[in-house]
Amino acid sequence: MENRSKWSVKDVVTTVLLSLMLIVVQFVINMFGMVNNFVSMVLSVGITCLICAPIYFLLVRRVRKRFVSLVYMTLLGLVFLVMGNWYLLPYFMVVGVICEIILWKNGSYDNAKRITVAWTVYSALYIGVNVIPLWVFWDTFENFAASSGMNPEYVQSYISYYSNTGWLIFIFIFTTACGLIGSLIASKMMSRHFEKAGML
Amino acid sequence: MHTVHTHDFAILVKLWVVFCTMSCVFLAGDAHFTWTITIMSFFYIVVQCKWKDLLGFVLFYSLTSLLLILIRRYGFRMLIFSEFHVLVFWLMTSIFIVSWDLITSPPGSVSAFLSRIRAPAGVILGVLVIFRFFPTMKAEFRGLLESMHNRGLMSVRQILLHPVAIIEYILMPMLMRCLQMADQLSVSAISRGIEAPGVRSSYYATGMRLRDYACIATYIAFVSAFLIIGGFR
Amino acid sequence: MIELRDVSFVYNGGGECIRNIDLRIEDHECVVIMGCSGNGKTTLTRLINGLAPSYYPGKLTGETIINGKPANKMLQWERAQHIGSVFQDPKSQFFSSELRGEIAFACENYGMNTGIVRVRTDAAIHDMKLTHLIETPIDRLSNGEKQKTAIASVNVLKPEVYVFDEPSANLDNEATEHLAQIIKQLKAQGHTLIIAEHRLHYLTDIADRFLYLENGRLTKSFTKEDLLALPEAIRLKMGIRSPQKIDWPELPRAEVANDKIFSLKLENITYSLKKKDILNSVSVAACPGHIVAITGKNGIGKTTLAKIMCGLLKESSGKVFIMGNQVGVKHRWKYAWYSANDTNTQFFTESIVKELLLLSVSTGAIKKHARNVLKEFSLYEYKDRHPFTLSGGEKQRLSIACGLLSNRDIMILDEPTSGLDGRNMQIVSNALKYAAAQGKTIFVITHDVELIAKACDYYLNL
Repeated sequence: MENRSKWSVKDVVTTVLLSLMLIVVQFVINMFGMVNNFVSMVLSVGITCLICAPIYFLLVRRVRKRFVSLVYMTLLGLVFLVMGNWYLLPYFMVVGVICEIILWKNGSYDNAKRITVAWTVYSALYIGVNVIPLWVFWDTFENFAASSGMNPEYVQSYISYYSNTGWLIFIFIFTTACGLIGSLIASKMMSRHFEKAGML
Repeated sequence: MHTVHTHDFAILVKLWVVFCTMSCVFLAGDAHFTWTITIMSFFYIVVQCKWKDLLGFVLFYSLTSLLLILIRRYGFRMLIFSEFHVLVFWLMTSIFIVSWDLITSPPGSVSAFLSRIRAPAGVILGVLVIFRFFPTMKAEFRGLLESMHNRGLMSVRQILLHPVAIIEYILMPMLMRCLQMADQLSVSAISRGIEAPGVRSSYYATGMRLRDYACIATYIAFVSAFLIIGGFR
Repeated sequence: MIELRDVSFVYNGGGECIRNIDLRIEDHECVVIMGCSGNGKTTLTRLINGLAPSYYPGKLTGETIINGKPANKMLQWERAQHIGSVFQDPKSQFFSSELRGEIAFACENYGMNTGIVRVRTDAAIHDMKLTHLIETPIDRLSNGEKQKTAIASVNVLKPEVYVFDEPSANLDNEATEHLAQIIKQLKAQGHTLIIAEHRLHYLTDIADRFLYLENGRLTKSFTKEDLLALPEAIRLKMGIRSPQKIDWPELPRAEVANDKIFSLKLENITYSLKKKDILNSVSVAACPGHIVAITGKNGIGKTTLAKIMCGLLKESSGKVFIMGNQVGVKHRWKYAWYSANDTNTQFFTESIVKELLLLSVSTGAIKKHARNVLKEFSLYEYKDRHPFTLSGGEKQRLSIACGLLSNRDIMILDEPTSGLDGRNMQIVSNALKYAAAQGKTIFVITHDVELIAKACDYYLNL
């Protein structure tokens, strides 16, 4: 299938709809995750990448054009921008470019392995969603915490998941693994449902 | 009762206000001064007569402010969420307010603005689809939940024993509906000439009123004062 | 003037197709295209408005001439200025949340001057008598009003030709009458109208010709008189609906004497939302084997009542009895099967068999039961197909089949035959009677008089 063709109306609409699905699902999961510190810091990014994998697979395999991943990640970045985390826009655009490079070759859109690689890389980098806001706001929070009389250990424990190398490695591996497993599940779902129904 | 938009500022002004607000929050020397820009945002909403939104934001800000005072003065510690989240939400309230105001603008004015800046038809189409996504998907999702309820897939036992299956039962029909919707929307757009060449126009005019210029000027003055007095990071 | 010369079309993915059509539609003519589902009605409309092959790729042979110019030389957007299309389901075509934005959409696409856009939009709104709805959000309009909005949004381009694809599919009888008025109005204004339809009764006084498609070929052409004179047996064989308006059958009201055993009884059900009474003291009862038609104007609360029966909504006051015992909201779903109007989000698995056996233990007896039901509903040859690939009629049958296998005694179906042709409507009617014969109690929300005449034995009018 020709990768270089112009985007049709159907491509635009499909990309926007599926990107929004991805974004909404992510935010719903992350919102639920915020309740508990452990879940939001360690688990929810992984769970998000696991559950969103089928949506991404469908998006890439259905639209079959270059820059689809970049469009999705730019939209995601824009959503973070209007929520105030403006730095996540350039971050995700870079991630988008990386995914595009992975999927650049002709025929990538039918190659489940390549899409798996793209999504797994995305998952690995997705932890930026938690880490970067933490960097940006940390000084302010430390000052506030100090003047609130918070025990320094208590404060440190909050970012212990990210300052402790052991935990950091665990989160990284966990999220990447979730992305990988999600991709495998997504691949199966594509053939069981969408290929069977003639939509791919 | 849906919000009346007759007193809304022009989209260009809203974009400017979002930019100004974000500059203040992120460049502020002392983050605690951001309360001034939050109050400014309240005025911004009041001038547009959006009372329901105002009420929601005032409650939100009061709640986060109260929590912060309790944390700081009385040693209150959070069991759910975290102190970090409360602080970040308090700091970013002003951004939430002006952004919310921007994204709940009537789609007609947004598409009018985009056509005024000669955005490609594909971009305008995409933006219109974004606006339609939420009401349409909400209805579809409700229908899906009702179907699941009917089938007995919503019982607690079912959810606990087969969580993965439940995700599949929710995700697959929703995705199929997405594809179907994409098809129907595309056909609807094509049969009404979306592919016609040239710049897309709009039913709504994008004229700037006196109040729009006044708002821009006010914000320029405010940001300057804020950064000069408050200092940079 | 539209002319098709020996036109054949096959979709790239297979499926229904058009074979060797020779058709000439004169200016100002109103032509109705009839035929069973899957025989090419929609494809023919797509060939006329150009969506096939530009949007739906496939192999096209033959010539299409529009106003003297060959159609393949026209770009899709050029064609849209002459041929406007109105589709079946308006709500899935809207781009705006409000009326003016939606109707102005087409003019905006062509980059018309703001002044002209406004003049045309306001004129179309006035023409379709939608002025009083300008401030209403588009999602709150009734189906009839949505369909009018869709027509207005095509009207703004002032096309010479209008192509309708089953415009009355989601409309009740009153809205269909209004649609008939609009179509009459468009005809009087001199437009050429091409309407693919199942329900013919509202068009018999308007259309000039009725064309019958069978397996993609135009096999018959009727005038109004020919159509009305068609013997019932032949009409049933052709699978088309009655061209005459059928009188409402005289049915007894669905209530039960106190001494009889009933399966579902509603006593004085009231439902209010935001201080408005949607249902006011509704009582109904039915026994096993009964098929009750629930009828009433659009918006009167039929779906609300159905949802209360199956536990999706809680009544504000009143009692619900199932098999003699009062049942609370949380448990009703175990006894009542609800099949919604919209079949798109009803199925969850990847094959019909799996759908039927969802949540059932797969014992030999249950599998045999499933097999019998599939055969009865003519779905057995599709047993491994994905539910999403089924046609509208097949999805309705599958929903009823799933209901049968759920072992619930009460089945509530919301508009099972809207948009179905005569043949499919007959199959659904048979399916309902089969289910009733198995001892189920069936409630059917419907405005389809033919279905009520064929299948129902009691009624409840709200």
